Amino acid sequence: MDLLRKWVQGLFFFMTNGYWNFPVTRSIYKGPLKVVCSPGLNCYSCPASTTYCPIGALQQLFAGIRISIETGQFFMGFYVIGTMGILGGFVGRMICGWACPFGLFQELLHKIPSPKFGIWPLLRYMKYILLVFMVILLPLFAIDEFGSGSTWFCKYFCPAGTLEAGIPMLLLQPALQANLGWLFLLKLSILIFFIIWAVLASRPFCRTACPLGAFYALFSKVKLIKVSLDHKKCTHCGACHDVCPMGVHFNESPDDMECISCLSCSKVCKQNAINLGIRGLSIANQYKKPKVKPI
Amino acid sequence: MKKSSRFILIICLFLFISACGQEQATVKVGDLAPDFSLVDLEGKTWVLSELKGQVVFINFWATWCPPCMKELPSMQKLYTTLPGDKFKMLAVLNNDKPVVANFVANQNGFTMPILDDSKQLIGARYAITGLPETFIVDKQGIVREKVIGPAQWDSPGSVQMIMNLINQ
Repeated sequence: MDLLRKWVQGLFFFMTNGYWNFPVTRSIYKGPLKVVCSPGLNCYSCPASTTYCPIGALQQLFAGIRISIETGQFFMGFYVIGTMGILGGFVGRMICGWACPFGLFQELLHKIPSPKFGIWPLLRYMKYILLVFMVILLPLFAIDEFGSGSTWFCKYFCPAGTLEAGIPMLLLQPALQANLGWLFLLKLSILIFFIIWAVLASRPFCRTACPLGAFYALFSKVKLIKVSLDHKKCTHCGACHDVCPMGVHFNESPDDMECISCLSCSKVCKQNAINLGIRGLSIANQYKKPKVKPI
Repeated sequence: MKKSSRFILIICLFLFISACGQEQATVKVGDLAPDFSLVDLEGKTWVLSELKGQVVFINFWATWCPPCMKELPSMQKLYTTLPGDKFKMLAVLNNDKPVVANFVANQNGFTMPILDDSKQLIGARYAITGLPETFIVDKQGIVREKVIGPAQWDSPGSVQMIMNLINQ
C-alpha cells in the first residue's frame, strides 16, 4: 500500500503539473484542462500546472463576490466549493497524503538526513486561523476602491505559490524582475523557512499552515473513506505513534483531524487493528507478518 | 518489464497532457503584432491591421485581476489625453465575463473600447505570461513595447514614449 501511495502521489504530481512545454512558451499553461480544480494545493500560475488551486479560486470567489452578485456571475465559485465539498466528503485529508504535490515535496525534503524534531501540537490550530482570516474574511471584507478584495493567502503567504510560480516565472520571464519588492522577499523567506522546517520536522506546512488541509479536516468525522481502528484488537502498544508523519496518536484519536490516511500506522500495527475502509468496511490492511524461515 | 511498462505509461501521460497545449508563440519587441479581429462590448468590430498608421495600445486584463484594476485609471487618463485619430487603446478582456467588465467599466467611468477575448484566443496568440500585459504597436504594426505587469500609464515618461511613436 505504501508503494501504491507513492505511485498515486507521483501520478497526481504529473497530472496536475503535466505541461512541460513551458520552457518553449515561457508562460503558464492556459489550455483546455485549466478549467479543472486541483484536489491538492497546486498554484494556478505554476508554468507546468494544468489545473487551478482550490484555495486560490476560493479567495477569488470571496474577493469578487460583490461584483459577482451584482452581475449574477458566480457559477465558478459554486463549482470550486462543490468540488472541495465532494472531495472532502469522500476522502477528506486523504488528499493531503495521496494527491497533494506540496505534501509530496515536504515528504521528500524530510528524507534528507538531519536531526528530526516534533511540532508543538498547538501550532496545528494556526491553519484554521489562516483559513478563516486569509482565505475567507480578508478577501471578503478588505476591499479596494473598485469593490474587490484580494487573494491574501496567495499574495502574502503561500510558499507553494512562491516555489511553483514565483521563482519559475522569474526565471522564464526576466522582465518580471523589475516588479520585485519586499513582498517577494517576504514570500521567499516564508518558503525558505518551511523548506528548512520540512527537513527537520515532518510535513510542517500541512500540520500548521495549510488552509486546504484545514478545510478537508472538517470532514474527518463524516468522510466516506477513512482509516478506522478496531478497538477490540488494539492493545495500545503505541507502535502507531512514532510512525505518523502528522504526529497523530491513532489509537487515542482515530478520528483525528490531522490524519491524512497515509496508512503508515496500519503498516506497523501487529494486531491488524488499523484498516482503511469505506464506512467501516475494510478495504486495505497493511501489516504483513515477517516470513519465518523453516528450520 | 513491469517497471519499464510503468515508465512508458508515465511518459505517455506526460505527452498526452503536453499535447493538450496552447498555441506556441512568443511575441517580442520588434515582431510584427499578430493580427486579430475582436468585437467590443458595444458590438463594434476591431481589426488590428485596419489600424495601421496609428499607434495602438493593446492591454490584456480581467476584472478579477487586482493589478489590472489598479492600472486602469491611469490607462483611462492616457486614453483621454492622447489624440484619438492617432492613438487607439484596446483593453482586451481575457478569461473574464463581458457582463462583469461592462459593470466595472460603467461604475468606474472607463470609456476605452473593451474587446471580448473571454476565450483567450488572442491572449494565446500573443503568448501572454499573465495579467496585465501590454503591447504598444507602432504605425507600421510593429511591437515597440511589451510590459508585463501593471504600470503608471499617465506618467510623463509613458506619455512621452507614446508621443514619440505618434510623431515618428
